[in-house]
Amino acid sequence: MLASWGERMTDVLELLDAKMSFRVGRGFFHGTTLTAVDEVSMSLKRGETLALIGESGSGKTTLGRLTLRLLEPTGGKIIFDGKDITHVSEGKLSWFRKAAQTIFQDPYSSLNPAMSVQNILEEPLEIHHLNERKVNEETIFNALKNCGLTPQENFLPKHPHLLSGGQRQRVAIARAIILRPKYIVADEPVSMIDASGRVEILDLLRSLQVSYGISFLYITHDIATARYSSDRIAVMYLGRIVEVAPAEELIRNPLHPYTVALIGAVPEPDPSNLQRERPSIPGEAPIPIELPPVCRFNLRCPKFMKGTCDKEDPALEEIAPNHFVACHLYS
Amino acid sequence: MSMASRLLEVTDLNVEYSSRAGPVKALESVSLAVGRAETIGIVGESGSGKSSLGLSIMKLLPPNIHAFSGVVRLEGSDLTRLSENEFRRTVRWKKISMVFQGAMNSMNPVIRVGTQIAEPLFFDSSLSRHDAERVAKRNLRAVGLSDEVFRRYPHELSGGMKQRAVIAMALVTNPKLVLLDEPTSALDVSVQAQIMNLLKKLRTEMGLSILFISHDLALASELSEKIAVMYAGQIVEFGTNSDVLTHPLHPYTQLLLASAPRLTGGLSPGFIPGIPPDLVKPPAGCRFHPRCPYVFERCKNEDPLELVPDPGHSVRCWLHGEKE
Ligand SMILES: Nc1ncnc2c1ncn2[C@@H]1O[C@H](COP(=O)(O)OP(=O)(O)OP(=O)(O)O)[C@@H](O)[C@H]1O
Ligand SMILES: Nc1ncnc2c1ncn2[C@@H]1O[C@H](COP(=O)(O)OP(=O)(O)OP(=O)(O)O)[C@@H](O)[C@H]1O
Ligand code: SF4
Ligand SMILES: [Mg+2]
Ligand SMILES: [Mg+2]
Repeated sequence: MLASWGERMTDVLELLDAKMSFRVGRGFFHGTTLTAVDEVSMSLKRGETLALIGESGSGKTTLGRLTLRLLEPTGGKIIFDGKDITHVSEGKLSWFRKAAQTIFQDPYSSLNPAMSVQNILEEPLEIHHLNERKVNEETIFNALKNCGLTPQENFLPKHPHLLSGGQRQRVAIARAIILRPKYIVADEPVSMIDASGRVEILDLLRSLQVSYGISFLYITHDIATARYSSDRIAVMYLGRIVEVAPAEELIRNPLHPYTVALIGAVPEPDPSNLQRERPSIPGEAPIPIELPPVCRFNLRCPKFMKGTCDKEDPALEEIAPNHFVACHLYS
Repeated sequence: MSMASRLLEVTDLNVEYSSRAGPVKALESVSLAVGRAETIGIVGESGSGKSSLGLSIMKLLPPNIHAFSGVVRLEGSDLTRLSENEFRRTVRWKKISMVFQGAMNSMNPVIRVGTQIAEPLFFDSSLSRHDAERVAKRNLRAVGLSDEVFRRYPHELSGGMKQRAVIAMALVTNPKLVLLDEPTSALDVSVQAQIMNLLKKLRTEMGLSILFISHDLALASELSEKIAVMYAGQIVEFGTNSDVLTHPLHPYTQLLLASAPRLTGGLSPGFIPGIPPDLVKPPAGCRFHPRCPYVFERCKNEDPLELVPDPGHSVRCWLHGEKE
């Protein structure tokens, strides 16, 4: 299968049955296991943005941290640029620390308030022993320019508290790209930024993706921004990816009942909504502790089929080209 | 709206906070009326003055007030003239209550949820403790929580349950008006949808008037018959839900609508250029003029008057002014 081999060659990241369990609970419950990410397989192509959407607690951040090897998985494999990094020790990950970066949700707490923008951008260069002054100055200037922070000399001496939320997030992005990474995890990068400034930041990420061929994992609650800024969307529910498809396809033709419900719940600026109830899924997702091997959505699912959904765990299968879903309705 | 149907009337409200950089003009000649059983959405970006408006009505502004003027009438009587004591005895939590921004995360962690909900009733000497608890449980059920939640502590509730609990808390005294400040912004869309449906139901059942504060125009439009759009401490547009959504008049409202990524329609929303204004030194003339794509000379010098191009639909923008 030459074609699929060729495709694999262009993957920057691959997860194979990646699993992350935490020991939780005190006293009597000591030794309980919470599985935040449960045997997830996925891949990310070079220069691709994959959005990871799902409710709070579904495991998005944990999955993101696994791909950055900020957590060591309790099962499965993580392949980055063709190299198995699943259990590689920190001391041998320096090349990876340079190639994989992150942008956090909160531009207020993710930047050290005691440092100037210049110090913030110098730090990663110093950590990676890039000490050539002239080169570094140019690198920093370019990063600021690429992130729309011009004129640069106005921003270099400033401390984060003198910047607006959007400008701080731009500094965080400049810091993330300064080492020319191949892969960036952006965990809710615009959820604390005003609606009017969100698109600007998303456009910036998109332009970096295109001009440097950076691959992004874009983690968000907000499906509309996922549609706007990503190539594919993966939907997570209780530690599993339940559906993945190209962005527009997923939104126009959602297959998993959970995806259908998520999309239906998004408010739209339509005056007639005043007279309507919003479609909503009953209840809330449970905590992923000792889940039985059945469909994780079965207790809340409007399409629940007795004898199937409460008996078997559906696998993620390709139903249409590039459209994968884990649901008994389609198997 | 006839005088009789007006429940709350805010007239020419001005609020300034003191800060190291100078007075912050948080609200500038804000006027607004809320009818009985009516919901008004207050929409605007961070810092536009939404919470300051809510806190002014509740008389709970922070202590660093530099200047305050204006009139707030409830059923015709001026609340700004009441002493703190009278206001607490007769209005706050009795006729008007509020769900504060971030309230679900600031519940008292060591007091049981039920006790917190019943608390406003304990001040009412005509109710026994037992009766207060009974009323609190009835309210829990009304917001879709079981009686058993009464004995739990806040950390034992999910985000959605906590938000239901703080709504129950605001409604327990059967107020006429409730101010909801970003009541769902920390929640997932699916839980948000449940809370919005709950609010729709409660509003009808209790004949409530609501001031629904949100940065999300689409969300506010789900519940609000009328919408006030705020920018830099001013109401820049006011109209019915469908006026504002389908014929927005102010360039800021137009851009706000166009800049939010949506699930339907084209893929390329715009954005509002520039940054929000500094309220210590707000721009002269129209507050929005430095970011406005249609700015012309008059906008830079003269503060736009409130103009009413269509009945019931007002705007502060010179594009809708008469030609000089
Ligand atoms: N270090 C940890 N120890 C124990 N449990 C954890 C740990 N980290 C995460 N969890 C649990 O794993 C589950 C997934 O959490 P995660 O933060 O990955 O979700 P998320 O999808 O990012 O949620 P959010 O949208 O709220 O950020 C949750 O139940 C969480 O409580
Ligand atoms: N106690 C205070 N002291 C000084 N300035 C304040 C104080 N509270 C609010 N402000 C300022 O007043 C303006 C209006 O704030 P307000 O909290 O009313 O806005 P908001 O629309 O509710 O914003 P958000 O969406 O962020 O909640 C902002 O510029 C804010 O920084
Ligand atoms: S008054 Fe002028 S600057 Fe202000 S919104 Fe209207 S056109 Fe734009
Ligand atoms: Mg997270
Ligand atoms: Mg506020």
